[in-house]
Amino acid sequence: MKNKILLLLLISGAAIAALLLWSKFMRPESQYEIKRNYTNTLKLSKVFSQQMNKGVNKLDAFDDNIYLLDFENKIIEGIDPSGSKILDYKILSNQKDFIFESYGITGDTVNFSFPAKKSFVFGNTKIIGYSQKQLDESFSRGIKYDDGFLLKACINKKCDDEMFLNLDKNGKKKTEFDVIKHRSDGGILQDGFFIQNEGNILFVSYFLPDIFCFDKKGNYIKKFTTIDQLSAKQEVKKIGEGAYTFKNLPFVHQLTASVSNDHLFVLSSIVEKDKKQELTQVVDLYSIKTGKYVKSFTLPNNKDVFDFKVLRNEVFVLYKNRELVKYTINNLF
Amino acid sequence: MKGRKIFIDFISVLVSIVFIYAGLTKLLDHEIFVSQLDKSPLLPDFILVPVSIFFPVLEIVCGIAIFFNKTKKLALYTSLLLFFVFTIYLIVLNTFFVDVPCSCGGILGKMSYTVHIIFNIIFTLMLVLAVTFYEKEK
Repeated sequence: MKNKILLLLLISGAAIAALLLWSKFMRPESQYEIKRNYTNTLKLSKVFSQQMNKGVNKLDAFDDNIYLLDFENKIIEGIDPSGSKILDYKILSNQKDFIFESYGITGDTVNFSFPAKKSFVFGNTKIIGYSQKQLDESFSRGIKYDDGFLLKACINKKCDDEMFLNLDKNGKKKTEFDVIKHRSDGGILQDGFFIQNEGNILFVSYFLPDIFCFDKKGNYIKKFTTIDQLSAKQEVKKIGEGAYTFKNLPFVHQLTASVSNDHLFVLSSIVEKDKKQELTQVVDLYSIKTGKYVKSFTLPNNKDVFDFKVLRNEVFVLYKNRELVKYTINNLF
Repeated sequence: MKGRKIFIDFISVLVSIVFIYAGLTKLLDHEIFVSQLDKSPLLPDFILVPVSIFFPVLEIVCGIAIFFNKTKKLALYTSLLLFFVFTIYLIVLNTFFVDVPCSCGGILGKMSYTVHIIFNIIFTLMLVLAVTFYEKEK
């Protein structure tokens, strides 16, 4: 009897040991610990720095130029890659309720996404005046692209969930992409921001490790996930019909991002355990074509960052002290 | 008679492997296990830590006790209850919630919810058989 028990215990013990070993080796990048591939050869060299106004808190890249949004004073300032000012655009500064969600610039045209008014507003950098494109759909995030609009819009009148909507330039619905998980939270957990370049439109989530990819015509291609899998429990509560909010202050995982060529650069707020004591600003690089993580690098200075944008081999960083710094980046690929 | 005994031994080994392995990985990666439990909408915050210790320890104890005659019966019934509870928990999570990771421990957590539920149901049924055989053997 004792021999039998011993034998059974031995069999179990051996199997457990094998399983433990196997799971140790089968854990290349643990699902719950971030493991980055830092590039050692990368060099960021400071080219210039400028002190910006107090209200500046957002950086954008359109047509190979950099734009700084001073939301407080309602000014968009444009600079070319050499740092020369190319635009100083005052946005309807006399209207206090001109609260837009995002903006874009193509040539002389500036467009503003206006979810509160279910519209896009168009201005011109050379002419005073605005025109408005009223849309039928309620949306929370939107972007104007060459041939139309891509929206993160309510799935129905109750707006318990959201989906992506592709509209033509007249605002007429072209395609629905019901690819956002239905959580009955008004889409708030899947909130994020659109970014685009000449080849892609991307929706980067703030609170989940999700990136949604669209082509230049607003057609959904795929979703991929970032290496950040640490998403904490973010509870949402209903505060009214179609209105939701987080129960607690949510943790923002993907703070901001930039897209350059076929690569997505994400400023992640997840720092490895051994780097938690440092004020490290980590940028993770993903291939848009494959949806795979490529490598990571840290931004110099160890200072808090508001925003950053990558233009080919140049990185523009807006630090929270409103210092705009341009770095050239060598040996990225 | 002999067939039943062999079946009970076979189930005991399987249950022991699954429970001890799952329990050990949960305790070895305790921080990860707690963070997974933290995402569960079914568990209030104040019981997270007690649960994160109680269940792995119970699994390991069951996995060992199932081999000894004096404790076999209790271990078989406890294992059956554990598998039943885990299966219901997984079904509820899979049906009513999204993006909640399975707090299953090690490679068991890599299974999809559907595969995991089927896996648990098979084990539950095997344990029902093992308990029935054990009672008849007495």
